[in-house]
Amino acid sequence: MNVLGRCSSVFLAATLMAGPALAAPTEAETNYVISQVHSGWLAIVGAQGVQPEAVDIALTMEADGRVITARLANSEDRYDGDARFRINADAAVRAVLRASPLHVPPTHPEFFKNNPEFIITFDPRSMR
Amino acid sequence: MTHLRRWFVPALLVAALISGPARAELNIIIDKGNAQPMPIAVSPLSGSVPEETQLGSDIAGVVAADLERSGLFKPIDRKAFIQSPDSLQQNVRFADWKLINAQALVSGKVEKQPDGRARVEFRLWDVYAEQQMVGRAYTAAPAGWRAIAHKIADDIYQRLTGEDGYFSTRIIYVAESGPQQKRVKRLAIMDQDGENHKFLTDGADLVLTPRFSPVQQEITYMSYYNNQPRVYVYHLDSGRRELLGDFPGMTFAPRFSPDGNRVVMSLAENGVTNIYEMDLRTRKMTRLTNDPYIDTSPCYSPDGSKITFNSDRGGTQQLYVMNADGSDQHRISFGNGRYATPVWSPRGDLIAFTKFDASAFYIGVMRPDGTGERLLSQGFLVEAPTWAPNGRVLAYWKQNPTDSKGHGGATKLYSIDLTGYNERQVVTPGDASDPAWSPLIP
Repeated sequence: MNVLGRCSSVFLAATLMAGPALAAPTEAETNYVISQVHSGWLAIVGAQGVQPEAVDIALTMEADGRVITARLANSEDRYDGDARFRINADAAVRAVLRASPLHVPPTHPEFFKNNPEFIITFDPRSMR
Repeated sequence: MTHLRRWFVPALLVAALISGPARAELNIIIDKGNAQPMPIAVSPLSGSVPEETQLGSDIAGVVAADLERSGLFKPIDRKAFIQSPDSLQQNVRFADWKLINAQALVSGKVEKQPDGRARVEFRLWDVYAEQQMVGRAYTAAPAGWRAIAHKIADDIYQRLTGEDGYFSTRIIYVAESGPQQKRVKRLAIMDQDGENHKFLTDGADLVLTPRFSPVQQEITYMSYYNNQPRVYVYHLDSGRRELLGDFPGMTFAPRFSPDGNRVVMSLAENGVTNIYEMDLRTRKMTRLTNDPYIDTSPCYSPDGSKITFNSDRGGTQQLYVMNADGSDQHRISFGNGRYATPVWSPRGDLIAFTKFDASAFYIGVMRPDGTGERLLSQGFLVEAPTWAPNGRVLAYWKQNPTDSKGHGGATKLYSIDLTGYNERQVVTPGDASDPAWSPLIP
């Protein structure tokens, strides 16, 4: 058996031992979360010479929707040296913290319990 | 638009999988934010005696006004503040500022020094991250309090937008008064917020087209003496005026090179107008264009390697770019209408211009290769764009039409953000034209 085959076997065994996978959030449930964060995201729309970039914010959540931590999850090394990137990252973290506690989607009461850690990507590139 | 980018079971995390329900990595993408102004609370700066308290209040007022005028911030009415300026010096109660929806907070204090100067300290806080973003102190004579306020506003703007500020600047312009047929035109200067206004000339001579040196607080302008155009250099710090020379046939005042050592200008002779460069140390003139057309309004790129100008050599007035030695002249504007008064952005990536098309004037910008034309402002007569030193804001002047009785025709200064939003009148005591924005005051 090759390496890939061994990994597949482990994956299959683990899946079987873990029981059924959790249901994926629906688009409506995701939109419910987005709508809460979106209103607090005040992106500074740049002018010429500024290329807006997406930033990933990693969240850890309580089951009731409280944000425990919100941290930059991509290009962390650029935060101190790249003022524009830092502005985008700060605005994204601020939006998440401002929205805390997030309301739990009514159709998915265990949304945050099932997703205690997830990533929100703030992408301002279509806002110019 | 929303996306569920990834929803999968990590194959190799066996331990995690066997301990409970399968976990997923959820990634939510938000690609529609708000381009609304950021709510910011600028608390009056604390002071221990009434004089310091008053100064702290005044400084906070100027900082808030600067930020508001940029269009990127929405200062919250200080009547809504829950925590007092003095209490802020002990600790920041972030919950109080979240309650009034402030995303950022400015606090600080004023201390009068034994030598009579004022030490002004400020801190910028991220209310939701509950962290200090920047803190700085300035010391100056109390009379310089407005300059300190503008420097604080520049610091805040820079930290929250990632772009340089532009509040510690001045605008020079031509102040106009009297009937349209006999206008009195004087040079005037003011801070970018309209304060500290003063006239530099008495109106006896006609003055036109003031231009700032990009590296020093000095200007050139054109004035008529015995019906001949003369160019002067005016040193703002000393008030000294120096004659650069008589230039018969000149139509616009020269513009400085980025290093301040050269000026570029257009001179008319025998029905044609060409562009010349003068070395200010040797006063040597070099002709850069040599053709039977009208080439005017030259302006250097910020690195000094190129010059943009307008010319009618193609049949209508259009924008051109050439190397600083006059080589490689090529047209960059190809839209409808006529283009004039090109001005290179301090950042180098855009050229602002005046455009006339279908009975209307416009202020617009395009890239130096002529692509990406955007029109920002329109009017009966809109003319003469000038860049703020950060390359984000433009100022220009507008004139209203006159009615059948000759009333109207008022000329006023305006500014606009490069996004095309936040057009505002720059208030002047009377009619105004031909603004020129200064570099940042050190």
